[in-house]
Amino acid sequence: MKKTLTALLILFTSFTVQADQTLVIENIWIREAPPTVKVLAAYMTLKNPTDQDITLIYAESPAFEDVMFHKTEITDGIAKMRHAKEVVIPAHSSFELTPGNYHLMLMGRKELLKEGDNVKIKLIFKNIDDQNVSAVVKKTISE
Amino acid sequence: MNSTSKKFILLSLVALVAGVLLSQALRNSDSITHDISQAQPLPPGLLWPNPKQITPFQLIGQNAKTFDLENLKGHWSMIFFGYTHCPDICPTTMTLMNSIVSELSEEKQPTPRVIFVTVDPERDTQEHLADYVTYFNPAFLGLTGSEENIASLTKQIGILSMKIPDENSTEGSEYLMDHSASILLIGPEARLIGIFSAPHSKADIKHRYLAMRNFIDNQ
Repeated sequence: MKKTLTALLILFTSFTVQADQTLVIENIWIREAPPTVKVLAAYMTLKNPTDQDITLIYAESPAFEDVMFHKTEITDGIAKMRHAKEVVIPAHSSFELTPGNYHLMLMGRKELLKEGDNVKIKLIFKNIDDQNVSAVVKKTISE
Repeated sequence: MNSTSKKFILLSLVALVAGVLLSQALRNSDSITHDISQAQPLPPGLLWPNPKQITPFQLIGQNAKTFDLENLKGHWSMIFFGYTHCPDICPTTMTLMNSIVSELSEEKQPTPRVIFVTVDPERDTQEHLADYVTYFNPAFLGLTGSEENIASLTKQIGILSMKIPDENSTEGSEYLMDHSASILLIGPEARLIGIFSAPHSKADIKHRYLAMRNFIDNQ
């Protein structure tokens, strides 16, 4: 019995260590948009506790035709939205996709999305496994 | 009257005059101190002493009604320029302006009218625009027009926009718009009173809007 418990404890500890060493994706949300709008944006926080940079290279969602990485930049009072090929989350750092900055540009909304709905998004990375996440639809200015 | 009495009267008069002068001087210095303590620094973004007088323009509002210079008069308006295919900065700003107006209303403060002018008339028809703005707040106004008509307003108040082809779009025909991200405050005499530059903060804009409005009302 004691051995089993010890074994379980070791197993549990190793799982915890494992979990601490992977990318953490939090506060994943999409701003609810007017019904006529088919282009939306998703935001999230990506925390990388590992010793290596993690690169997000592609994203897709069954709720949208296409997903791209975009960055809004405000230069001399002008808002410019530009395509970003990839998003790098540096080692031991946190990276924010946030309004007025980096975001997932979700194009071709298939069905109307209302506050409280959950939207599946698959995030594909260069150097770690794909992550399937769920974004919640909200009506706020920012997270 | 002997000379002692004369001297006494003279001295009394001198003392009276001195007293009056001193009290005036003190009152003046009091009022100076008072003025200094009351003088608020002008809110950043206030275009004073030379607010820009807006000249005639013509756009189309909800229900296909003309919206021109006369429609600006008699109201305080917050104007933002954007396009409905913009997924990030435009809905963020519209949500923020709704939040500002709602808070002002709850606090029984004077609210501005909110106007969204499209810089993408090709895709933003008047019906589409009406659905878009009223989603954020039923009282918001959406304005469109021909490119020339929109330019007749944007050019005079320093609003810029530029069509950028999106080479990554699946159809290849899509485009993005670069556009000024500032919120403009127009006073009831159709003068450009203030500019709120991006990035926007709700508390900051609310505070400066009230300060600007108060300043103009007291001129």
